[in-house]
Amino acid sequence: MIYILDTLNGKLVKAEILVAERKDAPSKRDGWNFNWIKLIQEENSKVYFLKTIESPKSVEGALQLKIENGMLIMELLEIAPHNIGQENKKYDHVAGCLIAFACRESIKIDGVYMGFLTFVSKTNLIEWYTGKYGAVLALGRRMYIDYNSGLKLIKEYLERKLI
Amino acid sequence: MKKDNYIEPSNGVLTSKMDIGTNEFKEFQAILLNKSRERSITQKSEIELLSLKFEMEDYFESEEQEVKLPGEFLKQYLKTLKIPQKRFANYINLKPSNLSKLIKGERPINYELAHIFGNLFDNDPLLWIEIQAKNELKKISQTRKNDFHYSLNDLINK
Repeated sequence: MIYILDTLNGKLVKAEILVAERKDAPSKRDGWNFNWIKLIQEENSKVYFLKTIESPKSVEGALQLKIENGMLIMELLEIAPHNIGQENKKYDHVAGCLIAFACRESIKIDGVYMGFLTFVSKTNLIEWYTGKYGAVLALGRRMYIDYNSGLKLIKEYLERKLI
Repeated sequence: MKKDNYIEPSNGVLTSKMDIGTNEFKEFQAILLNKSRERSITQKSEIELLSLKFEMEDYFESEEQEVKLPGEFLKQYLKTLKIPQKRFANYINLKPSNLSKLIKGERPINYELAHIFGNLFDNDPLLWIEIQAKNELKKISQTRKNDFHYSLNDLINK
């Protein structure tokens, strides 16, 4: 069980990250940028949705992972339109939980790239990834989160215990 | 993590697509390959052990039909750590033949052994028991499904 933060009342809300199903896919009509139904059907990739337990029909964030030459790539990460922005977002920790989940997946792969989560950042988010999630800028906008930083994220976002 | 004055995203899309196959992508992979080679043997082993822990957790949570014995996970741990089964059996005061049975699923993991494994491999002792219980329940529900025709309604009304 993972938890995301309801910014309105400051309470943690139970959530889960599940393998995406077509019937749950959010659409551009709802303000999303990508056609997630199409992305689910792409070969050689896995798509996951983050949903709260109490509102399982609403997707709070979506993630597409790919493995290329044994390296895990966070190909797409999108959070729901209502979770964007510093002040008006409904839930916080959505991106953090999905990034931590991707780090956990990177530890599960075999080979030399085990424990490296790689991705291409948007130009204006490089500092955000570095400062908030311990990512390292490697080449151009290509970044990675290594095992040690990934482990911290897993503990912070996926193994949070309610007191 | 260091605290910077970073700006929170103002758009829901947080990544761009990776340019797989380009020269820069290959260069990026080479950078990571070097980073990977810089890891100590201890850290490599730590990552592999954590990977196994996650594999066990995911197996327990999943609904996949293929049964994986807790003994198979134990075998993977010993292989990763390069510990011969005989040496391991001696260390935990178990006959090598009994360890072999345990790995094959012919002998159950008891609570004491679950504690020993949890202690040695830094995972939850309950996970070993839970995986075993999950497998047993699955086996019973598949082989004896016609035996379970109980209903609370019947019980109350008989």
